[in-house]
Formats: sequence, C-alpha cells, structure tokens
Amino acid sequence: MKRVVLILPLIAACGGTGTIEVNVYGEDFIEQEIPAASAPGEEGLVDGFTVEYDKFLVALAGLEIANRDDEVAALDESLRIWDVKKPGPHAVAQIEAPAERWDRVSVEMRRASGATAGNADPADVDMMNAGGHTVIATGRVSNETDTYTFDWRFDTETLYADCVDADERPGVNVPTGGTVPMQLTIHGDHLFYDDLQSDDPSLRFAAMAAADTNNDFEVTLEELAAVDLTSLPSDQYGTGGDPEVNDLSAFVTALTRTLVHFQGEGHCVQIKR
Amino acid sequence: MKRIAMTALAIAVPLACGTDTGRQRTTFEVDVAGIDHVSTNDLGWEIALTRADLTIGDLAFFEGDPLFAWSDLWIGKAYAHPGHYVEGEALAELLEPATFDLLQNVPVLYGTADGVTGDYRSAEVRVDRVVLAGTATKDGRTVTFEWAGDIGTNVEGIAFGAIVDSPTGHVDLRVDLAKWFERADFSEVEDGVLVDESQPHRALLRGVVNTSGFLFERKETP
Repeated sequence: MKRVVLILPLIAACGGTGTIEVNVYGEDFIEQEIPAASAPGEEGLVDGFTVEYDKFLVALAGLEIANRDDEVAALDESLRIWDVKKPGPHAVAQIEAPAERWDRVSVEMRRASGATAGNADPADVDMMNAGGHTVIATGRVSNETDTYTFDWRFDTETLYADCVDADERPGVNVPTGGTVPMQLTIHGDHLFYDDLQSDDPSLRFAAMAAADTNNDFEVTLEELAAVDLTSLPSDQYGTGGDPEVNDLSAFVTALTRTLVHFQGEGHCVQIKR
Repeated sequence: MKRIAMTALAIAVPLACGTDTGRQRTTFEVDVAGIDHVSTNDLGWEIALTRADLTIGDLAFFEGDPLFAWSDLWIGKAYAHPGHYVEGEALAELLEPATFDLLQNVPVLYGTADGVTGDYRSAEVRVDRVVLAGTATKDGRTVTFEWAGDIGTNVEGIAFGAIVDSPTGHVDLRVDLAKWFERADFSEVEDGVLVDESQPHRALLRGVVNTSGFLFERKETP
C-alpha cells in the first residue's frame, strides 16, 4: 500500500484525524464474468452472450482528496497500472486526514508513460507504457455456439471529478480516530452498453460479433470501426447526440470514459482530457 | 429514458426571498428558428428542404452539466456523462406543446418560460414529431423525399450556459437542420419514401435527437 503526500498540515485539524483507505476494485463482472441475462429485465447480456475478461488494465493517476475550501488532504500524482481482473479490492493508498467530510474527490485515467505497477504484472505495465494506453481489456465472449476473443486497447484520458456515492453524498467523511474506505470501482460491463445516454442501457454483443467480417472469431477495434451506427437497429447504440460517435469502435471508446465509479455505484463528473 | 415530471416540475424557488438559495422567480421568452436549411452532409448529399416542421412537447432548463459538450468553448471543458446525466436542479420550464415551421426566416416565439434565477447549464427538449420534405442531390442524382416521424423522445443534457439573473433577457433556440441529415445516405430512398429501419430512416432518427442539433443562447435585451 502506498502512502501519499499529505498536503494539509494535520495541525489544522481541531477535531482530530482519521484514515482514508483507498482501493480499486473490478467487482464480479470483471473478476468473474458478465452473464447472459436469464430473462428479460434480468442482469446480463440480452442476446445470450457471456463475457469473461482475461485482463482488465487501467492506468490511474492524480488521485486528489480535497474540500470545497480548496484545502487538499492528499494528492497522489503517481501513475500506476492496475489489473482489476485479479481478485480485489486492491489497496491504493492509506491517507491520514483531518476528521471532516472531504467532499471533492477526483482521479484521472491517464495514458501510461513511465507508469509503475499498482498490482499489474511487469509485462503488462510495459505493454501499457509502450502503447501509451489508458485501458487494455482482453477476454472472451461466448454463446452456445461460438466464442469470440477481443483485445481492445484505448488511449482515452478522462478526469473523474467531484465523485459522489450512490446516495449522492460527495467524497468521504473521515471519522475521528477511525477509518473510512474509499473505492474506485471499475465497471467492466459498461464496455457492452448499448446506449451512451440512457439511464438503463442494455448489455449486448451480437452487433460486435457480426463485425467479425474476416470470421477469425477475434473482434478488433478496426472491425468495429467499420460498423456505422446507422447500419444497426435504431433502438440500439444510441449516442444521445455525441457528434464524435458514429461507429461501434468510437462507441466502445466513448464508453471507456464511464468505467470509473465511486464507492460501488456512485459516480463522478467525467471530463475529457 | 428518464422523464422528469414536467407537469409538476419542482423548481426549487423559496417562497420568500432571501433564503439560502438566493434564487428569485423570473420569466423569459423563448423563440425558435431553424438554421442550415441547405447543407451538404457527411456522405456528400446536398440537402435542400421544402418542409421542416418540429413539434416540441415541452422544454426545461437545469443546473446540471450538459451530457456532451466536447467542443463548447463557453464551458471551458468537455463533459461526458454517458448513462449518468445529472440534470441537477430544475431552473425553468415551458410546458406548452407547439409546432414550428423551421424554414421560416424569422424566429417564432415559443412562449414564456417560468423559472428562477441561477446558473443555467443544460436544457431538455421533448421532441414529439418532425415532418420533413425536400431533395437530396449527389453526383448529378436528385432524390425527392418526404418523412413524418413520431419521435417521442426527451433530448436531454443539451448544452446551455447562461447566468440568468435579470428579467430583461430572452433565450434563442436554434435548430440546426444540417445535424439531422448528417449521416443519411439518400441512395437508399425508394420512391421518395424513407422505409422504416432503412439507413436514411435510422440516420434521421439519430439526427433529430442529436443534442448538438439544438443550440441555446441567452441574450440580454438592451
């Protein structure tokens, strides 16, 4: 576990101090699998496919914990690579901070360059650095008859700011003499969302499987780029009007900006870098 | 799609002035006009419209950041909230349905929005119906088309940046018709009809709910 730079002098804390334990976690969808939905409305892919990741590498940096008075409890600029396929949660940092609500939490998904390992294997860290990637997701997608592989590498940089938990509470509340967990939760199912805007998108893969035009059962981003969204049913892959998203590759790339969540189902403002 | 209760929109205005929100009741007029009646789309089709009617169900303004504003200079940074548009507090609304001829050369008054003062950052438009007709020309071939579509979609998270703190301004809504046709391939139009789920039909369905097709601007009255 890394101890990060504590910016705010603890002497400023009249009410004592506590500890923030930061971790990153891929949840069951990344660690285990994303199942096929057993029935309409149930969790999983709606078209009978099951996703199993082999690797899910993310490059995170710029973790900042501050308050609305612009006091900064901690700033960790180190760029580290995490493989959230590995069983977690994975400890990121332990921060001692004045006991109060630190309501401005942000973290960046940043292109790897000179990044070091969080928990990722050295070869994977090298692969991320060599390509300057922010995310590499590899795995298999299967239905009853076929298995497709994918090795998708993305360069999208995103600042996740002003994170709130699932109850819309901002940041973390540090208790005097106690410990509060702070989780950066990676939502691996988002890469299979079929809508960029809907609050309740479906998960699907069939259109991506159909993109495998060379029939080698590997779905590449290049093949996805050849699928214009206007060739797909109008009730799938809605973009909400994002003018930069016109094909399936751009669609799944846009979804990488939604991967990082806060304290499970909480969310952050996503700012394109 | 998430739908706010427009008939009972809870605009957070204090009953008495001077409470902690500091908001004051305000009203402002909204007018509507179409732009880019003639355009050349991404696939090289030159579109010339003879009819462009838009029926709006209602309109609301929010303090939440826009859903997509990759290149909006006014906001200074680019947002994306796929699946997580956070509309925030409702600041103003205009509930009357109305149909606009977007080919008119002058803006048409939509109505008067009721709301509160504040930092307006996004808008939502209920697009109920569009009726379009015109020609599309490419490589010497001209296709005549007509299409009427019941859309029934809330286009949410539209970029709109304005500090509304006076009763002297109004809001322009400009509908960029070129955005509607941007991805339509008219070579697939048969006998002037956009067949359901054909490429141009799908492209138009996507185009008319494109947030970048709705351009809001607050203007102060001199």
